[in-house]
Amino acid sequence: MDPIIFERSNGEQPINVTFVDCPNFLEYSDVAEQLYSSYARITESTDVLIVRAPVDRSINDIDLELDNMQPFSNRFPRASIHLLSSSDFSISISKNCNANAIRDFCDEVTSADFVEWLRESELRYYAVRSSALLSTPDNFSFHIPSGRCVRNFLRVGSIQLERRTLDAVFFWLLPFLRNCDGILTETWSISSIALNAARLLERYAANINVRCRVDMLSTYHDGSALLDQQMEVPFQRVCVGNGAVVVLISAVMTGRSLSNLQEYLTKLYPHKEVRFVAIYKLSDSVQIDALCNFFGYAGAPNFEYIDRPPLGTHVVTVDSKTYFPLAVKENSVGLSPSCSKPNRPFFDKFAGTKALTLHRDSFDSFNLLFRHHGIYVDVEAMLNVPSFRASLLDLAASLSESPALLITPPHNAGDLMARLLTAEFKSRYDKEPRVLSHPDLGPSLDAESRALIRSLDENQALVILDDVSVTGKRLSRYQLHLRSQELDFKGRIHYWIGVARPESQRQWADRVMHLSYRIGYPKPEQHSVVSLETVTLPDWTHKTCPWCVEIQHLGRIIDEAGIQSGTERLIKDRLRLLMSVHEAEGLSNDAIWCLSEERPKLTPNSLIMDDTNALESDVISAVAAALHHLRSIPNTGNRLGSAYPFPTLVGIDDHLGQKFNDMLLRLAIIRSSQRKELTRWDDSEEERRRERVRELLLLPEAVGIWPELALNILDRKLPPPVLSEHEQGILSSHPAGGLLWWAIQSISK
Amino acid sequence: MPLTLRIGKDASLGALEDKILQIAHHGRGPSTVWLAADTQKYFFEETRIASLLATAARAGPLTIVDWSGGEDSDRAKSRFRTTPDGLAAVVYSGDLRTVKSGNVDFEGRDLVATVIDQGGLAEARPSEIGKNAPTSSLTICAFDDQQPEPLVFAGIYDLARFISKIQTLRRSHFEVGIGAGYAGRIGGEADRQLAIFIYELYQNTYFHGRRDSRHAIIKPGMRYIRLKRHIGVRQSQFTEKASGFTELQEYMEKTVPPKGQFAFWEVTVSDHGIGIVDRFLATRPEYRSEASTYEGRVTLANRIINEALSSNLSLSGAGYGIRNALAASDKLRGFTSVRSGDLWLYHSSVTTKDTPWLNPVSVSGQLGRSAGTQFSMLFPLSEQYT
Repeated sequence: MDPIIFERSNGEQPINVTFVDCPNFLEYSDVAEQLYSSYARITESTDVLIVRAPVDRSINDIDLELDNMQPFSNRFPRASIHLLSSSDFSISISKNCNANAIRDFCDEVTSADFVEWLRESELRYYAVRSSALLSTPDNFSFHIPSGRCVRNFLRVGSIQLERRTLDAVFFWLLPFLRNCDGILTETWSISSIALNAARLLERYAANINVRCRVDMLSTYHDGSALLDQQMEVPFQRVCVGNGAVVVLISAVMTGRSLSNLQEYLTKLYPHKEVRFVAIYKLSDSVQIDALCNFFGYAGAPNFEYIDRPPLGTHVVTVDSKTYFPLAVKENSVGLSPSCSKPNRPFFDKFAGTKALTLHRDSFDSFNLLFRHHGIYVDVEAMLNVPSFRASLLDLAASLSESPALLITPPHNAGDLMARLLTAEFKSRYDKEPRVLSHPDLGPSLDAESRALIRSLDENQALVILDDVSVTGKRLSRYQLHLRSQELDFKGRIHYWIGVARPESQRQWADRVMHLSYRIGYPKPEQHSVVSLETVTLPDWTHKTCPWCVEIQHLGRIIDEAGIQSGTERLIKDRLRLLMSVHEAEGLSNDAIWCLSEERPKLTPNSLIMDDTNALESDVISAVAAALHHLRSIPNTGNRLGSAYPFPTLVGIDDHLGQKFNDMLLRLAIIRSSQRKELTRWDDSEEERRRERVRELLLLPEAVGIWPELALNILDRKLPPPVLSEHEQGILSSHPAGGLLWWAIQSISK
Repeated sequence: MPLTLRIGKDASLGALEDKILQIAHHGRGPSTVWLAADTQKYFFEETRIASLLATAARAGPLTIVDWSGGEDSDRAKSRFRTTPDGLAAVVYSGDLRTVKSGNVDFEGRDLVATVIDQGGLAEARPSEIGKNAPTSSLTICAFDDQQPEPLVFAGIYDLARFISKIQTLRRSHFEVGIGAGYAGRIGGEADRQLAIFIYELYQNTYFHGRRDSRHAIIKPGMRYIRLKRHIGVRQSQFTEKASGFTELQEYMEKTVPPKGQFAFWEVTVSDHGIGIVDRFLATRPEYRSEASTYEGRVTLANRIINEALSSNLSLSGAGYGIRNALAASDKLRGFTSVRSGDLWLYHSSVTTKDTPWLNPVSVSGQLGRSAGTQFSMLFPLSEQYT
């Protein structure tokens, strides 16, 4: 029941939409509780909550249904809450059922345009999140069943990862299923979708006792006479009833296969009502009803055919029956000066200052947990660096007078920045701005502050000051509320950010564009967005933070019997550190689980940073940034993490070889990489890694890092090596070796 | 003058409340608490003693005298190693001694560290010690700021894992003998709602129950989830265990048959912070006028845990778990007691069923302000009642 979070841009101000299913085995109250208990942090900025009723129910009394949705209003007291449901095969969204919503989005949400947007957003989400969307690097192309070559291919069958995807397709198909008693799919690879649709249809229309037959074609229909014959039998089987037949097409690009099907089926059963529906439509050139248009929006993949692949292009054939590519081409990349270059100035400037710590929580000024950060950027520590502090104070000079108001989120770094700037404004303009500390300027804002903001006119400016921005969503919340009827602020907003640390530069550019937008004003008078430092970092939350993952592994080990007491002590000591340090100073020189007094260090002339006194947290952050850069470059064949069938992986020599003398760099690479970026598809390459791991752990100097290696094996980032009895004995005689041996055995099982 | 309090074996909840009031009246200053062994005669007794010790320690230096009478230091050590009130004595006292043999010396590793390593206290009832004997209680402890998360919760960062862990612990410790098959009998939904509520309460101890009015962590501090089983063979045993708590006695009379073996399981979630209402007011001072009277605080406490009144400005919607929990408690024929600050509230599936509301417990006179919040719930384990 994972909610899906969308951001809908309605021209000027994005709204946050949370979309959640209520499956037929849960009550609305259960969904509300689960949503609140497990997803409170990611859904806290929800403007609109859309709840989809159980898809197999036709809901006739919508008011009665809305009465049951009170638990959502309890848990999301600020959101505009709506029910997405169907009644007699028609889909609609209800009015808002939360009387206390900050803003009622009824007009927007109940429009046909919103329903269409939601349908397409959901189905695109499933395609992108699964491995359905296959893309090639520059020098490759797919040869697809239609006989053409493409750079991007959508294997729709791969979206069938879980029940809710199947149910979602059924729901959106409902308008096409009225009076339908047969479904034929153009490929067996989407058969689960069709079988589920038939099953749910029988429940949905139980009052008319419909029986829906399902059949499927076994291969791509290229118009050959032989395939016509093969198609006849399945089609006859779904045409037994008197109702209409839906022919479900996985994806349509040029419509060649579609027209072959249409022509043949019309000839075979001229009087039968046959409805052709595509799940995904990949171009505008074909006339067919489709659930999701996978084109015509910013960032849409290009599904156009390549008439002549350039010379030297490698072509991978997609099988016409399974729709899987018939070959896998594995590629390796590694750390290089070019991938560390974009962020290197930042790390050179702040190494050793404790500006970067790991596995650390952030808190608001009430000391309430805000969120967990795998990599924590500490602006309070950065303000001890003179050049950074000077840059902050220089911002005051960019304005011609003191702003009317300085707004900060309620946290210590915000308070500190506000104090410094207030003093600077005072010295420059002999006037201090009033400082307001509030998380979002929402309903909890006191009446006095509300009146103050309302009293400001369009010629006045205010500054929103934030220490660190990851996605910019918090800044957008300020903007949303400043524009609301309650505050109705018409003046200019300056967003000043200590460190912008987006996951991608493009994401940040989009956010800046939205934040800068000021209706009816020329460019120089638009809102401004300034970040003192910008660094691209992965945004590890508590689910992806490598040290939170470590806690899970260690927690699992101590739950199991058979650990030697020395090893258990080792694990518990580490757990005690990891389970307390996150709410204090985070990890810095203890991020790598190393037992040696002589911890791995950076040697001079590193390609990551200059400072050989850099903390482990600096090195790991810098390596994580470099790897993240490799994940976000254009896909020329070297983009790290590119998916099947062209996986691009971290080179074996980078993390298990001699490319880097520094053990710290190798361990940082493994900590910062995802499992899928390290594991080889090619068995012989994976065996090579296995042997490298064995060689590494048997080095005398590796004893100190045995726990770290054990973790990497438990996390399946490294393959468990095969050890001789003698080698096992060496391990078993040492508590850390005991852990390593336990990990090897556990994974080898 | 230092305050001296004697907590004997037969200290009922009422007697303990008197002592908490004494601490309040005494004001700031040192105190000495004589603590008898085997203080498990009454429901929620150890929990209330732990809170009393925290209250005394917040008022000034605290000396604890183990009042077990003899020179058996092993017995004294064992007592402090195995009960929450004993552990609270270790955490909160600056001076811990036996009557005759001086300071209790915990050799080797620090006791708190040992409890942390063990994942909590698992206490066996002496009569039941033996092969496969179930423990009578299990206390999962967190210590501020030494170990804010118990190791037993390593890697449990979401509700689903927490529910699974709590249910596994209960199953392995209590669902044997008379409690066998309990989980199957009560039905998954009520059980789940209850686990969700325990999760929320535990989260609240983490977010609020360890912080003072200025939002700083109160050190030293102790928070815990306690699972405990109560077995008896006559109704009178249970009503006697509820002495000093009229509403609980009434519940026992209407729930426990006059004769025959009967059992309850108890879950307590406790912290030693500043209490629900004061903590809320620390972040939401605009509600202060509503809390000027006892009745006002009762109403506000109910609103805090019943409505979407959140002390977290950026995260609304908190607090609604209680409504579902009380409904689940009614379904499981349970009883709830909440002691927080100067409030003592209850909900009974017998007398206040189907109301999402916590009512004030009838006490003679005033209640003292005790440290923290103790949320305790009792549920029949016996087959005919589930």
